Amino acid sequence: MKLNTSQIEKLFQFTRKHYVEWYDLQSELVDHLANGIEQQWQQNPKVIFEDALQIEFKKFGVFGFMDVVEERQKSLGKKYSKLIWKHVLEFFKIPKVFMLVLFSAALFYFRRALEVATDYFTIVLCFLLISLFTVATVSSYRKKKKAQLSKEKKWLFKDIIMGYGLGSSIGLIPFYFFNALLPHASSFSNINSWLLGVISFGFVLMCIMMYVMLVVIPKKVEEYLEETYPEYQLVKQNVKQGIL
Amino acid sequence: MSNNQLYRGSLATIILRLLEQEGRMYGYEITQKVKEMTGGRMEIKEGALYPSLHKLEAEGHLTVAVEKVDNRIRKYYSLTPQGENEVVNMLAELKEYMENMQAIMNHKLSY
Repeated sequence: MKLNTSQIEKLFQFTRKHYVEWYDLQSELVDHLANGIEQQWQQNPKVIFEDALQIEFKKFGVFGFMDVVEERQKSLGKKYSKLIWKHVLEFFKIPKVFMLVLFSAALFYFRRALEVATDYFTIVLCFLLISLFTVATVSSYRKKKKAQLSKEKKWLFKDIIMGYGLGSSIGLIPFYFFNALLPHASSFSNINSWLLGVISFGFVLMCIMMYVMLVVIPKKVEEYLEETYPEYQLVKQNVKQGIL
Repeated sequence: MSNNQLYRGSLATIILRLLEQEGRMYGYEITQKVKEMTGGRMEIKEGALYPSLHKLEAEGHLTVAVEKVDNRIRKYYSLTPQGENEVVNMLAELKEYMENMQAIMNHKLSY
């Protein structure tokens, strides 16, 4: 005996009820539960669907689907970090490396010529970064809301790319970095050239990282989803045709 | 899987070895195969199997293909070339471990 479409839908609801929000994980768990239930029916066709489901769910242990979700988040998080570095490292290759050097040098000479206290610079920088973060958070929230309303299927890697990026970018705001390196210098022109060079390079590198996380990777999100999930295209087509 | 630390440490090796033999498998199939091969003495816990599969996939040892079976999507795992090398390494490690354990277990004190 095989599970019918409404029973499969019940299994999807069951995974959602047990905190599995993402379709990629849901579909794998649904197939697993369905196989288990069908196996039970082979041995005893009288077992009712709900009881068979509870028996299968218990096999996942006391934490239910939690371990599965956590490990998937961890492994896709690692994949995302690798993706960021892959894009950032492109800025160390020709021709983009010229841009990195040019911006670092420009920033270096700009600061060298600056006759203002470093504290002002830190304040302006923090203000700019906080504004950027706020704008990005609001836009990501709106996109999420729109996706929820359209009942679009959720993909874990997409959520990591669109949301996680913002979460980690706040960690990149180098308040401590600037405060530690430029505590009471009255002007940038008084700072040691090497130190200023390192700060300029670090700042440009940080901007590149944020650009990669907020612009480059989100732009290619569809490509990365197709690469991560072989079912992505299939599901998209089915959704269009109203099958799934 | 049996609630035993010894088996838990070998889960990745079991998965890779099975995929080497079978070509491609889906999660439920792996649990059933292990049960069948050990005459029901060993059972893989689902809560451990999928995290392990996803980890191996993220490390590049496994690749995934999907198929629509009945009215649902099925995810098949198979070894990548990197995974094939990993099986050889893991089996060699396991063999060495078993030999060492045997040597320790069978060791007799000699005066």
